[in-house]
Amino acid sequence: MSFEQRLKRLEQIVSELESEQVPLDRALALFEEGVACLRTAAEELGKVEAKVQRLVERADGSFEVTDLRE
Amino acid sequence: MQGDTAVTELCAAIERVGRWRAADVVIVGRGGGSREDLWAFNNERLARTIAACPLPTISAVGHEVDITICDLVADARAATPSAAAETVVRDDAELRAELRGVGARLRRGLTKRVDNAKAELQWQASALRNRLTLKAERGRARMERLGGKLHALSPLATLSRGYAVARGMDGHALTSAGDFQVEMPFNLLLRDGTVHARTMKPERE
Repeated sequence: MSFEQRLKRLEQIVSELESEQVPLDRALALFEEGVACLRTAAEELGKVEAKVQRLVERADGSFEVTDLRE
Repeated sequence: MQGDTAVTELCAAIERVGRWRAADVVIVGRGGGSREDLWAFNNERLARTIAACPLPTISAVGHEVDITICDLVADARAATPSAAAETVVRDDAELRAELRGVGARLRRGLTKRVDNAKAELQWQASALRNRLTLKAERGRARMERLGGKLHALSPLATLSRGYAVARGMDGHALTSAGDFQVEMPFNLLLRDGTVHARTMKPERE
């Protein structure tokens, strides 16, 4: 499941929990799934952010075109 | 150039060079000599031939003081044949300076192109960087908003107010006295942990 898919699932869970009719059983199961979803999404996002940071640093350091002036 | 045939020979030579057309300039010169030699260069036929020559002409016949008709009809006048040659051939230093100038312009043009390409590349890199960072930031904001909502809706939130949830060993919530049998094990979910329990006597109201 991609990060976006996880967030979409999380949105479904939240909107189902928001409806008053959901039985306790279902609510507990949804909540547990939601927490798991959130944890995985946060981990994945952390990895992506670290990767972006590395790419940005490398791009800053290696963007030197050799000068033709001399 | 001396003698009676001088004029005829000069005219023939000038006409030949004129027809040849491959020359850039015609220099009519005389190495020096007696004053009478100069008379050949005051000849009308020669003067007309020089004037009619399709190429630029330089007369280098006499010395400073000896002006001939040839000097007057030619496009330019030089004191000596050497002086005429110097006028025609461009100075070496001047040529070198011009070449250096052209070289510098070429280099400037190239440097400018490279600088432009470099600037463009850097602009694109920073655009890419911004886009990536923005995407990650948006993802985080959306995730955190959903996390906040989820926790606000937590069915376990009531536990902090002193309520408990009874759950069977399979995790299902036990919400009715009818869900319990005597001696049935179950879990009680509390604010700070779980209590493993066993039913003593279910009573329905």
